Amino acid sequence: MGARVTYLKLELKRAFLRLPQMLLGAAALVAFMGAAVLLASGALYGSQAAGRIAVGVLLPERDAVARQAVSMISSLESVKSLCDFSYPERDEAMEALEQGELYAVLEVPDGFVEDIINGTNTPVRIYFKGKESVESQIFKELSEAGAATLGASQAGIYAGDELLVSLGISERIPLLEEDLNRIFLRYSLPRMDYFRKHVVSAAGDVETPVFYGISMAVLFLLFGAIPVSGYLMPPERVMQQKLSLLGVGPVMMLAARCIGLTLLLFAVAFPVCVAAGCFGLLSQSFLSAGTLLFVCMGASCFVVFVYQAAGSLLGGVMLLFLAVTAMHFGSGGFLPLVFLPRAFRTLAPFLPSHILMEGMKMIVTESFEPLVFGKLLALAACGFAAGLLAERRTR
Amino acid sequence: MLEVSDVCRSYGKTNVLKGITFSAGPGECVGIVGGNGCGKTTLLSILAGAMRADAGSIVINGREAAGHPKVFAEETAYVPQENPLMEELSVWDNLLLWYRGGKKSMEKDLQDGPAAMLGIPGMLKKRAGTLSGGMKKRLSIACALSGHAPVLILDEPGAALDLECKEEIQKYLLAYMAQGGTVLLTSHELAELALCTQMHVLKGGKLEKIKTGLSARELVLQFE
Repeated sequence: MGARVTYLKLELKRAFLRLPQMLLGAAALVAFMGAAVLLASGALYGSQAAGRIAVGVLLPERDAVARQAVSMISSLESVKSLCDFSYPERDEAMEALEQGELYAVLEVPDGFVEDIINGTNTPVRIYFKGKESVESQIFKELSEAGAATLGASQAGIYAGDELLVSLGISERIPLLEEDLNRIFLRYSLPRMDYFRKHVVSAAGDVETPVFYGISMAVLFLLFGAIPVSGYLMPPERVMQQKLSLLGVGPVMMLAARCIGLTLLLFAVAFPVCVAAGCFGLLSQSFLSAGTLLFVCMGASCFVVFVYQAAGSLLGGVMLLFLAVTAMHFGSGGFLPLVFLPRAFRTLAPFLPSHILMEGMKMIVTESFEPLVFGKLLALAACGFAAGLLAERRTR
Repeated sequence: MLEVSDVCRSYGKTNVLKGITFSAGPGECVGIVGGNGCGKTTLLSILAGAMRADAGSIVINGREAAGHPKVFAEETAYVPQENPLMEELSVWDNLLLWYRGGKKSMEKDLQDGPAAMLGIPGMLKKRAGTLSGGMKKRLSIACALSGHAPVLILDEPGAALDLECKEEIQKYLLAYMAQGGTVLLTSHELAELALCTQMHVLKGGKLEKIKTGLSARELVLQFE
């Protein structure tokens, strides 16, 4: 017993001697991830891939209804976030389009709104520049999507009208349209209200930046072990033999490394969480700290297993990098699961990365679920058991 | 008294040891020689309890050790070919890990025991990884001897050591034997083999007793 306690103490001391390495590695990782995020967001949301789309709208003179309709469309969130609408004169608009100041010009015909109501459906003419830019393409897609939505709504109304005509009760068409409008509003307004009160995004029930923050934190924990790879390698054969003479078996050796790495990860992650708490990004509580410890434990057992299975330092680094990258992709850490094939969605809940992200999400959202704690414990237990199996295989 | 009879060990289909039998009394030094890969390290690992034999009996001072790790722990001290040290930690920490018998006994040994004789007190604060090969070997021997076990098993103790260190270790082994200890060693060096009171050559998985004091040429002929 005494030898085991001494061994555990010395293994923890050995782990903490690696703390400066871990901190340096973490700093480098943060710098690398930060640069990657900045460059990616710059490319996606800056003006490199696509800038804001300037669109000129030619409205019929003295058509207040058309002006109001266009104003309403331009204030829609999906349009507002991409397009800037202006209302120049026709010649002015065409010249701006030619010079590339406008990406598209919309020509709204006379009686546009009335025609929609009476079913004539006079088309809106859209002018693009000869050589289409990315912005023009995006606006084209946006216009087609809007037209399709409008068409579907109209089809519903026209189908009702046609039904009444075929039944010979066309005089009830105004009543039907009034009812349809009322019923439509009854459904659509609460839905709009729901979206105002609840976060619904591809990233689940957290906002996209929070989702990626969680994803990066998990990657940070898993890759954070790379600078201390030397600590994670199983002891040399002769060391194992001598330790077994002291009564320190493979279970103890593996457990010591798992505990050591858990505490190292926690020592790095905890101050980061406290700092985030000081800036109001996270709440500070014992439960949050405990959850973080669980997450670190799950990550550690998985990482120790990877190194044990790899059998060599370089192999461990490579295997960890590849396994974590593939697993994180499969867990929806890079691209939310809704965008991935169904097979990924089925598999993801069993992947360590996904379980760790669930744990991190509990810390961020402060909604602690016993099931997730159970999953984290199961992850740690499975990582440990797999590590033991790998140890037995290489013995 | 060490009595080894019919010890066998195989790796898969390869029989490395085929019924090893010999005995050694207090104050004796048994040398085991043989070509590379003949199974010397395997035999010593089994005799130290670091590896299990497939069959056979190992009796140390009247106690059956095979299958009883505690007997090995109490009766043998094993110095493997490589040094089992935690290189990131200090010499003191390594002593703490391997020392059998508590802190007080360790401090006493550092004053006038084997550890003092091997020059360990002068390097207590150094990191094990920064020690030279000779210093590491001394530390490894000091750690192994901490339990004052009656049987000392050394796997090529002089490998990679300088002449001064080799001489100090040989002196220590003579003193150990004079106090009634039994030494079992493998070596490729005649100076170390000169300490042996009985010699065996291991070939084809069998142990054959040979004369002591053979020259290098005569020894090599025994390997064939």
